[in-house]
This record gives sequence, C-alpha cells and structure tokens, in this order.
Amino acid sequence: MIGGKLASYRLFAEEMTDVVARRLGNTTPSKTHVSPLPGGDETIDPLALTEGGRIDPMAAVRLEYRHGSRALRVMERIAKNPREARVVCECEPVLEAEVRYVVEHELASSVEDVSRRTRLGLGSCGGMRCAARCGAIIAQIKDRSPESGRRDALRFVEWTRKRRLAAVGPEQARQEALALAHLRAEIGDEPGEGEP
Amino acid sequence: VKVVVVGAGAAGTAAAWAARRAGAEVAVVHDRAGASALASGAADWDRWQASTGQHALEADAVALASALGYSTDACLVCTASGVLRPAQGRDRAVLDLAPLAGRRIGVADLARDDWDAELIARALSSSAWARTTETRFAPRAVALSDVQHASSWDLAARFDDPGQREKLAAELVKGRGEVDAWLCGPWLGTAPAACEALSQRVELPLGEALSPPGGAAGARFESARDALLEHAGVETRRETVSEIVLGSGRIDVLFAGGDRWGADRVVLALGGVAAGGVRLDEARARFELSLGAPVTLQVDGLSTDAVSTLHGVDFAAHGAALLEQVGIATVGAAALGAPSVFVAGDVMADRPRTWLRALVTGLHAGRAAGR
Repeated sequence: MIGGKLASYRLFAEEMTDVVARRLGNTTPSKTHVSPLPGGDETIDPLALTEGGRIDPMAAVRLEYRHGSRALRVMERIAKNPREARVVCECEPVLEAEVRYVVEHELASSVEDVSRRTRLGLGSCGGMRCAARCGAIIAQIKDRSPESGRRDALRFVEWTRKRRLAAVGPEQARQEALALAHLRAEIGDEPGEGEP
Repeated sequence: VKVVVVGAGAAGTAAAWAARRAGAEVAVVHDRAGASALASGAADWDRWQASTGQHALEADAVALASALGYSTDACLVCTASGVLRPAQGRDRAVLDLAPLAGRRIGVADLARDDWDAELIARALSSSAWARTTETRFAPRAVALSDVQHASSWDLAARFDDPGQREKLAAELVKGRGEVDAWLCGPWLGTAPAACEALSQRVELPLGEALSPPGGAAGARFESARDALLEHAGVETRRETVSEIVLGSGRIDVLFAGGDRWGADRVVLALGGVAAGGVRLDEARARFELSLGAPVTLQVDGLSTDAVSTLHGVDFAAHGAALLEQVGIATVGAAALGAPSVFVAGDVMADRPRTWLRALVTGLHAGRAAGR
C-alpha cells in the first residue's frame, strides 16, 4: 500500500489489520472505528482557549484544528509558563508552547519536523521570520549548541525555498530576494563560519 | 545641468548629494520602500561572511554616512538570532559590542513575539568571542505594558516620544551596577536621535540588535535621508516613473500619472529585485526593469535573454542567487549604450546587496552626472 491521505490512512489500516487478524485466526471484532484518534476523544471550543484575549483567536482555532482536545495540553503549558504564549510563526500562526509540545511529546527534533506537525514556516514568508527562533528553541530543549539550531533553520529555509523556486512568479521573486537578504543579515549563508 | 535621480535609497541619496555638490540642479523621484528602507542597520562593503577586513572609504562616503546616522568604524554587532558578526559600520543606534568585551551585558527581556531575550543571551554567550573575552550576556526583565503585539516599527516609534522613552529609561536605569551595557531589540526609536538620548539618560552604553526587513533601522534611514535631501536643496517627489526617454540632448522622465520632467542626466538608483527596481516578467519569462529605459540587463556578464527558457527563467541552473546577480550593464557609472543615464546601487549588475557599496556607487554616479 503506497500513499494516501491522512483521512483515509485509518480506513486502510483497519482493513489491513482485519486481513492479518483473519489469517492469524483472531476473531475479536475490530475496535478501530470506535477508538478516538489522539485528541479526538472530545470536541472543544477553540475560542474558549483564547484566555480572554491573551491568545490570538486565529492561533487558538489553528491549535484546536491540529491537536483536537490535546490543544488543552498545550494550553496547560501556557498556564504554567505565560512566556510560552508568544507567537513563533506569525503566518500560520504557531505559539511557542505548541513548538515545545511537539518537540517534547511528538518526537519532533528538527525545524522540518516541527513544520510537518504544525505548518510552521509554510506561510507566505517561507519561514524567514520563524525558522531561526524555532531552531533555537529545539536546540535549547535538546541541549544542542545554538549554532546547530541555526544550521537546522537554514536547512529548512533552503528546503522551502527550493520547493518554491520551481514556480516563482514576479511578486514571489521579490519575496524570495527579500528572504535571501534577510537570511544573510540574520544568520548568514553559513552560520558559525562568519563568527569572529 | 539638471540631474534627475530615480530612487531614494542609499545609492539614490548619495547620487543626489554628490550631484548637488558638483553644482547641478538635482531632483529626486521615488516611490516605494526599497532595500535601504528595509536594511538591517549594518553597513557592509562585501557580504559579511566574505568580508576581508576594513575597506578604506573615501572622505565623502564617511561624511555622507555620518549625516545619514551611520558610523563607518569597524564594529561587532549582533542579530536578533544572537549571531555576532563584524561590520564595516553601523546605524549608530545599533550596539557595538567590540568595546564591551569582558563586560556584563543585559539583554532587555520584554514579552514580545519577535524577541526572545533568553534564547538570544544563550546564543551570544556560547559564541567563541564571548567565551574568549569572558563577556557575559544575561536576560534581564524590563517591565513595560502593551509591548507584546505592537510591531517592532510601532514600538520603535513609541520611543520617539520623550514621555514614553522615560518609561523605558526608568526600567533600564535599574540595571546600573548590575550590567555594564544593555542590548535591546530593534525598537529604540525611528528618529535618529532617540537612542542616543536614551543612552545619555540611562548613563550606560545601550543599543539595538540588527533590524529585520522593515524595522527601525530602515525608518531611521528614511528620516535622516529626508532631512539631508531637504538641507541640500534637492527637490523630491513621491511618484512612480513609467519611462525614461532619450531625446536629442534632453531626457524625458515620464511619470505614471502622465506628468513629465526634463533632464540633462538621469541616475537610475531604483534597486534590484528585492527593492522592486528589477522585476520578473512572467509572460516573457525574463527579467526587466520596472520602468522603460534604454538600458541592457545583465546576469553573470550575459544579457538576460540568455537566462530565459521556454519554461521560465532558469533558476535550476543559477539558483536563488540569480535574484541578486541581475542588474544593468554599465561602463563605469553610465549605462551601456546610454552615456547620459547613470546607474548606482543594487541595480548595477553583479553588485552584492551591501549598504556601503551602494552608497559609494551612488557617489560616483552622482559626481559623473553632475559634471
């Protein structure tokens, strides 16, 4: 079985598991279709997550969309440490607490991993405003050097840039050139080597 | 001689200033914010990673940079990602760390989305420079209200107001005796004098990290530029130029609104791709100047037709760097084939995107045009 959409993966898995179970002589009925996915056990109101305006409503809606009821776990972090309410990626948007949550609990260990789980850096700016900070957060959690966090961020931005260059148009060309200039001013082409 | 300068970034401003000093009547027309208005506040001659030490600048460049709020002494500055880097000069509001080696530097800790004092201090502390010089960076809380969601530009503008600046000063004064200097984010005023006034009040060296595009450094450049051009007696106009037409002995500068100016010489200083002076023509899949002008565009020494393909400009072969390499082919400061049209700044072919070099090419173009 190759490819598929997230919405149909479960169905594929259920049918395949039934085939395997029959082969093994297992006659217990499948429970897959009645077991909630992580975060799918209950419906929560995303606007209740805004904490009376402290969290941007759009950030709350996206958080609930991605994590379901597990958005509450992300919010618990913010209750414990209000600093984590800060926005890392403005475009999507993604909160610092969510970045830290996916690194600590969902096996994310690079900016690209965080991006796949949260859409960080996939908005209009292509990660130019958030990749460096995300890399720094991951490096801090994983006890890696800040420099390795910057290299990770640069790898991510190069990756998203390559994907966009194939279809670059007039306005995007300008945007890309700005991203290049910004990256150069912020972390340099080869972070670490430019350090005095 | 009447000289019209198109564009008012570092290059256009320098061209207008130099042409005026050469005795010409000068008018500047500009429209949107370009690379200088989006600049970081670091003044480089080459890309900073490729920099091979201090470039000796001519006296005019030093004087003009100074009038625009820039120091041209070698310095050590840092970015909002906590990266230290050398620069050939800086916006005076940017903190020079070189003289602070071995000291305690407080990183102002404000609850802001774009400024994480803890991570910045972590990155700066782990740099080779901080370790060998035993310079310490530590976050220090600065309690100010309503700062989280303000854009960095808005926050900078807030501290132009003496009353608001005093609130920040009162917080920073608390660091006396515990820190030897303050590193702040790029929000210490959009007025060139705000940061110095703050430093005098706090009685500690203080300054900013480098600005993101559209940050405070760009805002300060724009206000210094406007004052400089006015003082120099240069007429300025905010409008889009649609075409430069070479007549017999006279050049017509046509505005998008239908109006026109006559000129003896024109300086094109409208920036490269990032600034919008050069754009990608999607239909014909090649680069073109954002206004009609009798000039030839070049990439890597070839006319831009060479980088067109049926499927568009060949980024696969040139990479994203192509966006920086495209420019106008020149003979000295004049455009190839049009000796009364001069070119400066990013819009010259193969010029790296660096503030000081843009300034100097502007001086050269302005002098040549004003003669």
